[in-house]
Amino acid sequence: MDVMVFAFTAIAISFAINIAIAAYGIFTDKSLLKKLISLIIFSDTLAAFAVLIGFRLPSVLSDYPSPPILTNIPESVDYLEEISAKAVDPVPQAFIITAIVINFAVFSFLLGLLLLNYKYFGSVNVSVIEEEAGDEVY
Amino acid sequence: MQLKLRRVKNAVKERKLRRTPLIATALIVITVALSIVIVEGGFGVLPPNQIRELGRTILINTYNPWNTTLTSYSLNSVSAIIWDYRGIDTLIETTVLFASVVGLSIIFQGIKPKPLGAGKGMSIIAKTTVKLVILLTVAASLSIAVHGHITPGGGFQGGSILAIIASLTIVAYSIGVIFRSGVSLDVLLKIRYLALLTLLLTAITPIVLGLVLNTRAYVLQNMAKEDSVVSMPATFLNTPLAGSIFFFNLIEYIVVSTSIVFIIVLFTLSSKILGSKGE
Repeated sequence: MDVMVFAFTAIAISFAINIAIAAYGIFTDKSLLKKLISLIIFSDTLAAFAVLIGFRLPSVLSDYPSPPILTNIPESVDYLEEISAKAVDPVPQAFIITAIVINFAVFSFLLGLLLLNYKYFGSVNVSVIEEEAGDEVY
Repeated sequence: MQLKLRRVKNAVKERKLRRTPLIATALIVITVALSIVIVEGGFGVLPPNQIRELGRTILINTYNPWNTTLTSYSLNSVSAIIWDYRGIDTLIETTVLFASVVGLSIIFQGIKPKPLGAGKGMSIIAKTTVKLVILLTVAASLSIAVHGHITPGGGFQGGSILAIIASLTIVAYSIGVIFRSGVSLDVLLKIRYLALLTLLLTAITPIVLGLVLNTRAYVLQNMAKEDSVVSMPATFLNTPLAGSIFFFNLIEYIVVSTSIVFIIVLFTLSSKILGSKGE
C-alpha cells in the first residue's frame, strides 16, 4: 500500500508542477493563443486535482472504490451505508462539471476576442499588437 | 514627445525582461512549497481513506425513501447535487454559458452566412461513415441526457456529444449543408432563448403549484419537504424519474448542444471572413 501512497503523492506533485508550468505560460508567453492554451491546461489540471481529492484510497486492492451512483433501488438503509462506505466523493465531481461548463463559456469567448485581435492586427503576438497599436497601448 | 515615448517603451521592455526570471523563481518556490506540503500530509492523505462528511451525507440521501426531506430520488448522486442540492449554482452556470454565447454573437454581429454552394467535402466512404456516426451519436447523446439521473451522464454531457454532429458535418460535408438543413445562427439562438426560459419556468413551477394549492413551496424545490407538500414526480411507470432533475437534464441537453453548435458554426464562418488582415 505504501507504493500506492507514493504513486498518488507523485501524481499530486506532478499536478503542482503542471500548474506552475501552465502559469508560467500564461504570464510570459508572447502569443495570446498560447496564453489561452496555457490557461486551459491550468484549469484542466485543477479539475484533475479535484478528482484526486475526491477519490478514495482503498484499504486493500480488492476493495476498489465504486462510482457515486446507486446500482439498485435501495431496500434498506444498510445498502445506502454500504454504498457510502465504498463510493468516491460525488461533491468534487459535481463541482468539476460546473467548472468545465463555465470554462467552456469563458474560453470560447476569449477565443472570439482572439479572433477579433487577429482581424485588427493580423497577429496574436503581444509584441506585434503593441507595435501595431502604437501609442494607444500607453 | 516621440523620444519620451520610445524611452517609456524601452523601460517597459527592460522591465519585462527582468520580470520573466522573477516569475519563474516565484513559481518554482510555490511548486516546491506545495510539493513539501503534499508529501508531509498537509492536505491529509491524498486521496483520503474516507470521503468527507458532506459527500457521505449526499450519498446516503440521494435515494433515501426513509428521509423524505433530504432525498432527491436520483440514483446518480452527482446529478442530484447538480440539479437538486446545488440547483441554483447550475442555473447560474447555464446563464454564464448563455452570456458567453450572447457576447460572441455581439462580437461577430457583422457576420452573415453567405449563400454557400455545395462543398466538395470528403470522400464518399467518409461521408457514409459520418452518416452512420451521426445516427449513433444522436441515440447515445439522448440516452446519456435522459438517463442522467440513473446512470453516469447528464444534460451537459449529452449536449456536448450531440454538438459533435455539427463539427463532423462541417468537416466531412461543408458548412452549407448545415444551413441547408434549416439550422441557422438565428434559429440556434432562438432555441437557446426558449430553452433558458423553460429552465427558469421549471425552477419556479413549485411556486406556481404552491400558489394554486394555497400551500408553501420553494424555488427549485424537487421533492416534498417537512413543511411543504409540493413535489415533482418521483417515478414514471415504476422507473425513477427524480422529479425536476430529469426535466433539467433534458433542457440542459438542448441548451448546451445549441450553444456549442452556435459557437462551432460562428467560428467556422468567422475563420473564412477573418482570413485576411485589417478587413
